[in-house]
Amino acid sequence: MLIALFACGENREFLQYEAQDVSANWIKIPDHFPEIDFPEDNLPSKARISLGKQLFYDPILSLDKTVSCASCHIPQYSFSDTLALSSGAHGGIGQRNATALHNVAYVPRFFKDGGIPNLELQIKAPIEDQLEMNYNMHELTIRISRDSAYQRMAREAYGRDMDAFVITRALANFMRTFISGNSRYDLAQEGKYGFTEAEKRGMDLFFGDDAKCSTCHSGFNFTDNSYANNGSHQVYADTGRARITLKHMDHGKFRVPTLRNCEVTGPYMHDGSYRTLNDVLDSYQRGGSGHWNQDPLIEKIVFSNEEKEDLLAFLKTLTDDSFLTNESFRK
Amino acid sequence: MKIFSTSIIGTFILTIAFFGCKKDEENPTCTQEPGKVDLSFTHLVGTESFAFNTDYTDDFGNKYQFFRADWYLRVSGFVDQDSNPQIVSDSYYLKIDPSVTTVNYGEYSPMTLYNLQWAVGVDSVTNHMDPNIHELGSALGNQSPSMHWGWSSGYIFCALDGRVDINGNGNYDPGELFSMHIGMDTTYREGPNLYVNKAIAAGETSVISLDVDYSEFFDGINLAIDNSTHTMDNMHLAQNLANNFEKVLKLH
Repeated sequence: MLIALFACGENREFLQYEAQDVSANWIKIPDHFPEIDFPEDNLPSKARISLGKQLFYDPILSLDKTVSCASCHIPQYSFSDTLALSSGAHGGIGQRNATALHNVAYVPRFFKDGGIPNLELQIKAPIEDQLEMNYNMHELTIRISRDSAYQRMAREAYGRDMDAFVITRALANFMRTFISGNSRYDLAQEGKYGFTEAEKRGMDLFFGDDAKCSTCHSGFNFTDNSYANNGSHQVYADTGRARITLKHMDHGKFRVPTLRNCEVTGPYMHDGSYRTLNDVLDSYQRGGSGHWNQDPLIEKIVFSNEEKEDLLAFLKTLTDDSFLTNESFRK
Repeated sequence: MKIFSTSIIGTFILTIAFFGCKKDEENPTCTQEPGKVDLSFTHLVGTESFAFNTDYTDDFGNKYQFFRADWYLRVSGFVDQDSNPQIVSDSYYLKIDPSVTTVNYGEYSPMTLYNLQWAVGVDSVTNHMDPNIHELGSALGNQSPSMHWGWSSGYIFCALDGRVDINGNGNYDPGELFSMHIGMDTTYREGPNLYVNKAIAAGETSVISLDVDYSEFFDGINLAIDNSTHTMDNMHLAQNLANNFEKVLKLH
């Protein structure tokens, strides 16, 4: 029996590399948040986070060097932007509303249809999307490898030259630091903030059986990460989850978004077609569009203008100002 | 000239067949020198040599040209005439395009290789792994143009792009294009074993010559009508193309 060992495609050198300052402690997690399930090959370190931050703000990632991650994922908007559909390189217009990136460390699958299974793999998509960065990971690796500063940072962070592995891991590492859990709602749970009467009434509505908001917007991150057709549209040009599963029953379903920081993450829905939170509540109040695949949970809700204001007041307690103004996330 | 890329990810290629390996009386270890195996590819469109931007005709008389022809070949190994494995190389992938002519498949003990096992595409486990873990130039690593879907985890098994004279006026008018990007697990196809019957001689290079016929991708497909699929948006056409994969590779 002959066992022939062939050159392996994976980077063996890296497998033997041990970064010096790797620790989950680089990411500060609120006590009421669960632990983060870090991938084994991408535990956080200061060097990795720094490199990821550098890349996040660098338009070198796009073909024409005009678009960076931060072009559409802006810190003050919880790493979303204010457009329905964002502009990409060469004037391309994206097909879906830019997703807010807070607490992305807890997202089980990526994109609004859940097509990508992990954050590291997701990084490649906007780089290669013709409507976003319009570039190519292979070409980017060649381009960025010529940069001596990046090479130095890559070796320090991952013990290897700058390549696609480093680009994707470092960006994911930085993005996992986007932990938002210090809103007035969070402070109220710790007894450090007292809700106003309107906020209290809004919270009762939110968690109550009439509005049923918390059926899907549940848990510490105000999402159950399921996919739902909320009846936002009569016709879905974007078939959502069905694009991935090819199942008729998934038509028009999109991942339930977190409501944290929703005050600043508009426009809303998968295509940004709802400009304000008021518009969103109006849709739910109407009971959705009545789309054939609309979730049965979406029913007409009768609430007064005052109750709607209360609900809005509560939703605004989910805004984490310390996160939105955190200087460590900025360039 | 495109850089040929190959990847052997599984790390081990196991040669099951045990051939006469002479041992030195004083040194009982095997001293049999291995032989090298190359795979040689001839790229064709029907009986004509493949060339980009050159006119060919489909089964329905439509004139067409390629400007991209990339696909994944998996060489799973070799089995003997009783279907016993001779070489197992489950993770041996080649990203093939018409510039790929000769590829080294490795070195093996002298033996006769019988049936080559192959497939078009990437197996369902590998398909959902991260291409970024592979080194630049590796078949399963990042490619330019990309061979990976952006909106979903998975490889594009085959990307065929070009022009087609849809209205039959003899010209390639603006918008008269075809674009066939096939992927997803359900389009992975294993081909029939190819009976190569090739001896590996000690210290020598054995060449297994293969033909790639790009016209076979379109067998039974009218390019004037069915000319665009990115798999999920036209699964019917994607499946039709995938069902043609088994005809694409032949012995030279």
